[in-house]
Amino acid sequence: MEGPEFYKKVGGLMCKNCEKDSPCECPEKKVQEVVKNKNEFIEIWHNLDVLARSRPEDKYLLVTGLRQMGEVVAVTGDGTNDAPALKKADVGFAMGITGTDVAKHAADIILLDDNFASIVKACMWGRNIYDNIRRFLQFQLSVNIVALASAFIGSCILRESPLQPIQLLWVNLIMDSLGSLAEATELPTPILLERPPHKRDEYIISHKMVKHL
Amino acid sequence: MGLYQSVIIFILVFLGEYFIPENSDYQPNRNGEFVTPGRAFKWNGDDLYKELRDGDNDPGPSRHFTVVFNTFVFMQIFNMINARKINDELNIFEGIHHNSAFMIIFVLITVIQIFIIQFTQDVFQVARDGLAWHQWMLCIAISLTVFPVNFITKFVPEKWFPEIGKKKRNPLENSGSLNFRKNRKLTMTFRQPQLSLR
Repeated sequence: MEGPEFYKKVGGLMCKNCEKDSPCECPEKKVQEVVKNKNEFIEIWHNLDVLARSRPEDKYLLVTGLRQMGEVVAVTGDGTNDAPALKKADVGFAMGITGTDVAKHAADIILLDDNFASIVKACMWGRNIYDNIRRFLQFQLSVNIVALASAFIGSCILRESPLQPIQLLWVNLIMDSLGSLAEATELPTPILLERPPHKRDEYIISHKMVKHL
Repeated sequence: MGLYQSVIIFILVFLGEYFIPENSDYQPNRNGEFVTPGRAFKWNGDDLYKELRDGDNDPGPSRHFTVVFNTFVFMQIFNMINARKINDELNIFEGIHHNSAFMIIFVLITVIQIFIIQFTQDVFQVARDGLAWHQWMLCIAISLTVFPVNFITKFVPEKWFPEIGKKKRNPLENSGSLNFRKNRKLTMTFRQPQLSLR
C-alpha cells in the first residue's frame, strides 16, 4: 500500500477532545489525537507489511493509530521527514552517522554505529534493567517483611524488639546499599531476548514475585 | 518466604532456650547445656533476663538473641542469591560467576557479619565473647533452609497470588504531540516589527 492512499482511506487524525480535525484549537495539554476511521485502520493494520512512498503525515498517522490500539511502537529513521513519527513513538531510534539533526533531536535513542543489530542490543539491556529493578524489589520487600514482623510482634509480646536498633541499622545497610548493588549489577544474557515483550499495562511485581515474598 | 522467615525467627525467640546449645566453658551456666533465655520478661511480667542485666555482675547482651540476629542476617544473605531469579528458573546460581560485584558484596557482607558477631560486643548488642562454633553451625544450618523452601515455592501455582504495582495509563497521553500551532502563533507575534510613526 502507498502512503497517500492509506491516509485517504483512514481519513487522517482528529482531536478526541473537540471532535475536529487535528491540529485543532484545544490547549496543548488537552489534545488527544486519534484516528478518524478506526475500523478501516484496524483492517489495514492486520494486512499491512510495507507502507511505500509514505509522507511524514502518513508515518505520523500510522504511529498514532498503532499506539491507539495499545501497541508499543518503536520507530527508526534518519531524515527530517521521519521526525514526527520518531517523536510520537514510544521509542524513537535515530541514525547517528547519516541522520539529520532534526531526527536526532526527535528521537529517544541514537544509534551511533547506524547498525540495526544495535536495536536488539538496546532491547536486551532495557529488559535487563527492568529485571534488575524487579530482583531488587523482590529482595528488599522480603527482608522488610521479616524485619517488620519480628520487630512489631516482638515488641508487642516481649516489650522489646528481638533485633536491637543498631542491628537493624546494619541490616538496612546490607539490603539498601550493598544488596541492591549486588542485585542491580546483573548482566544481560541472550536468553532475555527469547521472552515475549512486557505489556504496557503489566504489573511490576508479578504473581511469581508475590509468591516468593 | 517472608512468612517462613518470620516463623523461624519467632521459634528461635520463644523456644530458643530448649535447643540452642550453650558454650560448655561458659560460666555461670544457668540453663544446663542450653542458652539462658534472652527475653527481658517472663510471661507473667516478672523480670527474666532484665534481672541479670540489672544485677551486680552484668553478663552483657544475651547470647540467645545474638543467635537470633545472626540467623536473621544469614537468611537475608542466602535469600539474596534466591532473589537473583525472578521467573522461577530452577538454577539460581546460573551466571553468578560473571557478576563480580555480586560475589564481592556477598563475601564482604559475610566477613563483616562474622566480625560483628565475634568482636563488637556491646556496640552491636551481641554476646561479649561471640558465638561458639556449634552455635555458628546451628545458625548457618537454619539459614540454609531458605534454599529448599524457595525451591519448593517454585512449584506452587502462582495464580493463587495477587499482583502489585500497576499504574493505569492511557497510551495516548503524554506522548510527544506535534501541536506546533500555539507555538507558531507565539513566535509570529514576537517577530512582528515595531512600527514607529516618526
